[in-house]
Amino acid sequence: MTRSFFLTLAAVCITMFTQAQSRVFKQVSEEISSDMDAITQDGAVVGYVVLTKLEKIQEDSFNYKLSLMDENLNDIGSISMKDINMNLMSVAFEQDVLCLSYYKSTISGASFKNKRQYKEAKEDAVNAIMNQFLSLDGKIINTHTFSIVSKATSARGGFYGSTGKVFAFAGLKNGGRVRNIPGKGFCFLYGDDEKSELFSYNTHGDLLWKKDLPRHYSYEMVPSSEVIYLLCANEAYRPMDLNRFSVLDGAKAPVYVLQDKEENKFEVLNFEMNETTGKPYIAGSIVKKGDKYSYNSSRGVFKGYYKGVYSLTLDGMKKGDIKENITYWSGGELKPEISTRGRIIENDGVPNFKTATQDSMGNTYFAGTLLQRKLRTGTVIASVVTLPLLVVPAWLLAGSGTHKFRLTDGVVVKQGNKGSLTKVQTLEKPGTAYVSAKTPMSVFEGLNEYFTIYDPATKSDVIVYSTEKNYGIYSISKNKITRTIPTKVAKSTLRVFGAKEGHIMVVENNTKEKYTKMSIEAI
Amino acid sequence: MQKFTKTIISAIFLIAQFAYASAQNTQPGKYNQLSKSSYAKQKDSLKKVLVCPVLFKKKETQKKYKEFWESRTDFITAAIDDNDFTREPAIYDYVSGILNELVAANGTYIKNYPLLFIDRSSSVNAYAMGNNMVAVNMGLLSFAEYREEIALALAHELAHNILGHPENSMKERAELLTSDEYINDVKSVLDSKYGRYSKLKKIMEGYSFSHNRHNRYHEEEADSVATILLKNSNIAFAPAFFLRLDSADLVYKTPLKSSVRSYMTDLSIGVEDAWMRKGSKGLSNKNYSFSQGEISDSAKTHPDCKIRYERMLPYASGKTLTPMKASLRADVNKSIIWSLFVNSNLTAAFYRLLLEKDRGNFDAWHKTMAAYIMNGLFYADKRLSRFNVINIKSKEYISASYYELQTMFEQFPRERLETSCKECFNQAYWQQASADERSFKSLLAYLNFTEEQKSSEIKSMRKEFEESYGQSLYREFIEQIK
Repeated sequence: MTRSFFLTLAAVCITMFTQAQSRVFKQVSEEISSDMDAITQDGAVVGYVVLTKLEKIQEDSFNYKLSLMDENLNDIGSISMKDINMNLMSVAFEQDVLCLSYYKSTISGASFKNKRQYKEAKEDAVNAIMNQFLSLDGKIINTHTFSIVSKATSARGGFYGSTGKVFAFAGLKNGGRVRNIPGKGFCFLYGDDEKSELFSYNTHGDLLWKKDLPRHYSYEMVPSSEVIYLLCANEAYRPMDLNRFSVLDGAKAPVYVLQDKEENKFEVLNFEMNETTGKPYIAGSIVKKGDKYSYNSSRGVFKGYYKGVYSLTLDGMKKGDIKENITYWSGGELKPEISTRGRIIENDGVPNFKTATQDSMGNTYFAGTLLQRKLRTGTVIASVVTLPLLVVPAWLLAGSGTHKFRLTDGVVVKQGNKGSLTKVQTLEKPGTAYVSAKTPMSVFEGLNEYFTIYDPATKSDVIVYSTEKNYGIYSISKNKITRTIPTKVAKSTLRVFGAKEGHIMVVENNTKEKYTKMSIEAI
Repeated sequence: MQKFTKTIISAIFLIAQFAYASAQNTQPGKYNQLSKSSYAKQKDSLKKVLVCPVLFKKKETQKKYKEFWESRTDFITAAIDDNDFTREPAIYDYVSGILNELVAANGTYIKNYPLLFIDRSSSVNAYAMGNNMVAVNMGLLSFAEYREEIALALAHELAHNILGHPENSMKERAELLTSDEYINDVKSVLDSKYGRYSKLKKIMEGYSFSHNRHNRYHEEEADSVATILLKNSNIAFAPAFFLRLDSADLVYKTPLKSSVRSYMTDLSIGVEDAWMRKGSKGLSNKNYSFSQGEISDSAKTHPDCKIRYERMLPYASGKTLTPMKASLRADVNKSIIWSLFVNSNLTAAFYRLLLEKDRGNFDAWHKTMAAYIMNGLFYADKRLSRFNVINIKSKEYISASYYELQTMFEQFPRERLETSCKECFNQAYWQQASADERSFKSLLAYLNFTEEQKSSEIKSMRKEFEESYGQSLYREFIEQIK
């Protein structure tokens, strides 16, 4: 109590002091901002880092504090830095070294009194990326900084620019991200206005090689100890490209396009390292060729927008090192409870998969929510009755269609390592309201949340899914729902996020008593 | 015949009472000894007695002084309401006995008998609150080896009160915060375009430094006066206590004599070694060294211990020291374990249980407590608070055994935890447990193992417990159940 007693007294002092000098504190605190990011290793959260911009110390220079926390949110230590305006983009950990990636810019986020000042600043603008290598004793062991091309844009303050103030923006086309290469070092990629590049570093922070990348809309990167796998996304209707670079020298393997022989597109639900095999995999749904809709409508899904599921196990640079496992609804490898159009007979619904995960045997599990349809009896009868009027039934049918759709239970489907497909679990969920045939599936996004977490105890993943009233945790190894967590407890709302391996982060928000509590709980 | 029946009934009643009383003796106190009940009168009078004196002509300064003064009163009354203090007779009487000696022999310095609080905190500390109020933590009573060490701590706190340090501290702070110089200093931060945070921090640190320096000077003064109070009371003064205080924060660094698994086996709780090794990736078990793995002196509960020892060494009196009674220390430790349990600090509570076992103080109550803690862990897990009740500590502040225990608590699979909790409640030692212990067990079992719980059922169990065992310490936990 002693400490808390004096702390209370100190708090009272500070409170009163703050009241007296609130303007000072307000202005000083307004200058302080923070970026928080998870530190990852092989896709697992191993800690957290917070970069706090404390104050401006010169026209273009700031004081920063970088604080590190372990996976339990306990402080490990902090370092102080001086630099130009910068943001933390990504952090990874390998062999007791942290690689932190920052975007630095003298112009991004800055405000100017007038357009002339903005133009001057734009001409002298510095835009760069800094990759910093930090040891666990708090020493910066290496830094790699290089310029990038980022054209600044501006907006004028006030109503039709009445204030005369100019706000500048600049940034990267593809935000920088760093990943650890198991046992080797780090890889980093970014894309600016002109190019995209991939870098490889050892754990001393020495640049080993650099590669120009083909320009793409977005990238996802999973390195193994031998190969860096890079998934490049194009426009929504085009299949993705899988690029592979040798960790050793950056040599590039031929591009693998994510589509089948009939050019049906592979939609990606998960691209990650299989923790037990150490091999990355990609898994998802197969989308019918030529379907250029930017969204999949309820009717589209029911009428065969998805043709099946696939998984790709990635094991090297050669052509044969990508092991395809493709199962079509119509392929004949299915258990009787799944129809040739993908309908789960028992649940009378077509799955809209949202996540996938692979076990140690190479079996892949897909989880998502079932879409059910129902005949619009009233509309159909009305159309028949008004048939002689021609226009009215056409208007009725065109407006709402003959069927209505809703989401019901969730489902877990197992794709065996040889392509068999079995429904293994129903995840009970309340049905949504019915929507019309053309309603895009995206309207259900909030009710259709699924993600996976690796459980070291069972050496397999669990699938976390949400319903309106609770979160469920489905264990693949046990084939059962091991835990349900209510979304509301008394006056509090609970949300669940991924945390360190085998754990979830539960954030409790009580708006009435105005507090937010956070707890890292076992799955 | 009627007389005979009456005698039999009375005898049974007496035997039952005796049995209950003897069982109760093993528990760390009673509900009505907690401060909300036992300090109720003092709490009411505190508000009347603690009237802020008018000391300053400057309105702002007086206003701030009054706010400090009232916040102190509020803090003490809130602590009383929160049951932060206890008046367990054995412990209270022991400490007040020492206080009596000090007061009786120092009438010139201490006019009235001080208001004594026994704080239930496990922190090794004592403190003066001004206006003739002192408090001694349970943690200090557990840490002290000799009666004279507690006397030294009490004399030191009394000296703070005699010298008016708590009151002066409030005065100084009020003056400082309302001084033109200070206000101008802070305002000047806004005049500078750059480095505002550093400037403000510097001003605050300047204030803290001056405050800390002042505090250290106060400590020196209090040490000197304490030696006089002890001498007048004819109580031996052993400065070596200052040296021991240097390790006051290291209780959880004390290693266990055996492996955690062996203690768990003795308690019939089946565990696997794998649960004690960290299964998940994380920086917590990496060899980081931003800090040097030791608690810096300024961060310790008691800084400058070595300096204080050297300064006070010439005043040591060579009288024989009186060791603390082992039974009293065992009671204190029980009280700390219960307090940690009720405050949801379960790893620390369990670790202290195991330390008690190493000291040979492990009776039936400790076994029931181990079962309660395990069930508390499961209860917390069901309420999504396992992480919070484990209260994970960084490895540099704990022993390897503590690390194993907290890792095991973290990784104990839920199904196995449930089974272990049920097994804990089926052990033979429950037959020796008192009625209130068994009733508390039933309530925990209901909370943990009943699928569909009814709030009316919980309410009625609570009510029944309170009516049957109104003075049982377990009421403290039961009252927290929502």
